[in-house]
Amino acid sequence: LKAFFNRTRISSLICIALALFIFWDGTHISRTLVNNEPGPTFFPYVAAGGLIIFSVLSAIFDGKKDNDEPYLSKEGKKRLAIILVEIVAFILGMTLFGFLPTALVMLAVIIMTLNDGKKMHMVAYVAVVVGVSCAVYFGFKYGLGVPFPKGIIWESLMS
Amino acid sequence: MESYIDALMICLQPQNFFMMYAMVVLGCLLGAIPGLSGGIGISLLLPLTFAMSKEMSFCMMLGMYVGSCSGSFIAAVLIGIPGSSASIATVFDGYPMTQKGLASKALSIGILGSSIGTFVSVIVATLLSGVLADFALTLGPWEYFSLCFMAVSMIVGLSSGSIFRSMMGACIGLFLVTIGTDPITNVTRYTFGDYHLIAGIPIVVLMLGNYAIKLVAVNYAKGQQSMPEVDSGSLKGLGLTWADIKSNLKTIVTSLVTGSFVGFLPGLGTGMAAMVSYGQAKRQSKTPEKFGTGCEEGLWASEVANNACIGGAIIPMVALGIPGDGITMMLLTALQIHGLQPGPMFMSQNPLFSNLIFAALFCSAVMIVVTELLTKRWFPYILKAPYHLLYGTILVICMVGAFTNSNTMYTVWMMFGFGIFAVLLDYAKIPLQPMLMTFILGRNLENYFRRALSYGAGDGTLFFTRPISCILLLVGIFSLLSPMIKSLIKKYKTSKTPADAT
Repeated sequence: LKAFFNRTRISSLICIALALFIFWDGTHISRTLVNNEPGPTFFPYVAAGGLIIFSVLSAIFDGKKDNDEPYLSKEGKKRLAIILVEIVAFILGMTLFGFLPTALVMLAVIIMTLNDGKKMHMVAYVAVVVGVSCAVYFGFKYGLGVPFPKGIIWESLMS
Repeated sequence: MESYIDALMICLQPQNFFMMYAMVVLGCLLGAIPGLSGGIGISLLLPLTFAMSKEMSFCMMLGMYVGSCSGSFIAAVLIGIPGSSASIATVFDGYPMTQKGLASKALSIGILGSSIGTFVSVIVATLLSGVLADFALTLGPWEYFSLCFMAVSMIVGLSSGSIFRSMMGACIGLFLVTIGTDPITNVTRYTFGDYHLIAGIPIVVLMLGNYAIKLVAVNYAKGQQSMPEVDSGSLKGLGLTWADIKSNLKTIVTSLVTGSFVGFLPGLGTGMAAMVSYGQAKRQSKTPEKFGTGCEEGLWASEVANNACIGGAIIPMVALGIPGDGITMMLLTALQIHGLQPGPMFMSQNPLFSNLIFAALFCSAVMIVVTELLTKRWFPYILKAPYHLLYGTILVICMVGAFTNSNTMYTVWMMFGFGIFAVLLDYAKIPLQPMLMTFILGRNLENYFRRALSYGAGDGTLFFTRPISCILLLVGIFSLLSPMIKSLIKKYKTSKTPADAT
């Protein structure tokens, strides 16, 4: 059973589930027809129908050939999880503390992670962390007038 | 002509000129570093141009496009690793030339080949786009639908891996584009009551997640790339004479035609152009045995063709609103962001701006050739760029880019979600290109299809009875079926061979 449910077949099943969901949720869309045109649900249904047909075909034909070599090694999965957690921390930090403080801290952490503990030129490291964070912040805020998230904590303290 | 000169003057305004030059250089750096590309650069630039004028935005993006296409040969020649798929064929003869101590000559061929390809193809695009757009004005929604269908089908049919997975990708893209308000009846679809989704999924956020977040996450997970040491030898001087160019003139002209034509066809891209042109040059050569051992002809063929794709890909983008490759997909998005409607009416409604696109490409081509010739000896240093610093910087720009899309954290989370989604698609071996292509053209596909049915009083046969529409549909259907037909023929041949032997 484990050999049967390889990567291709699992992804086909997920796509079929998505397609069924599209059909089910499509029933809630009001179908106003204008001048003989097929209505707002036609294209989503075409997409869902296509997704089911090609998922089944993929499960049958590609599923046979799938040797299921791992997408990432165990170490690779760990590394993927680490970088994703750091990105989430960056986004949460931006929400809570605003862009600049978060960018300074998280860019330092992310660069450290990406460097894999190898020897690093400290001056270049600090220069990039401070330089990129400040250049992006001041360049966009004052140069282009782009607003940045202020951070829930600062906003509540200010108010 | 007057409009073209006006457009050229806009490009030469100090602020536009400076930003374009900065992006040409940055694009060249991104193109040169294996793993990064102009596509990443433009996806990061897209949200940053919200606050800029459309003229400056396009000067920047087109500068990056030309710079990245041109710069991709640097790593291919110096270390034998292609900067992007465009320069895979460049490695075959470029790197052996470096190993023979001819790095300077190989780099000069790369620089001149790239610029000849860009210059001539942009001039051809400038002249041909207007003619094509005029012709396109005579078409109706039936033909436009069939044209979009053909473009999507070609991308799906030419994607790497299984055709079924490519079709799955296309269907996912088609579904994603239907999220939001229906353009004809104004009914909301698949928004789950979330007002953020009423305007649909922002394309910039989708691009940032799919390109940038996935790039950083997957490349880190799979391990860092380390660059081999560069054996640059002597990089002084041009290393190239007029006689060298003259003796390869036939290859240059053939590669120009091949590259422009391949670029014009949606989905084939620069890598395919270079490979086709390389194969053609080898067939035409008097010394085909020298190919792969450091043959100048091979290098000219690859470099001229992959850059000639720029002009080729721009023609359908400007004249028809159909992207020729991944980068023109993003440029189309940028047009929409700046309130311009790509399509057959684009050139007649925006003559100055459409000429600005050609003028900016032309200026960028001049900038890149001068810069590359002057800085050739420093090329080895580009390849020493530390990935951890580059990727960290990309992430910061992504965060800002996603936030500026709606000025809420919602789009930042959405970008992260699409990053994970892209990793999952990669895991499921579903290619990204068909999904993105359908997402970009999906709205047009739907609009034209529904309008065509409405105008034809529900008569669907008009798609087949109108000759141009029928031809385009048949080409699209053939593109979809060709991988299956090819694999059936291959199976038939392999099953027949042992039987014949016995």
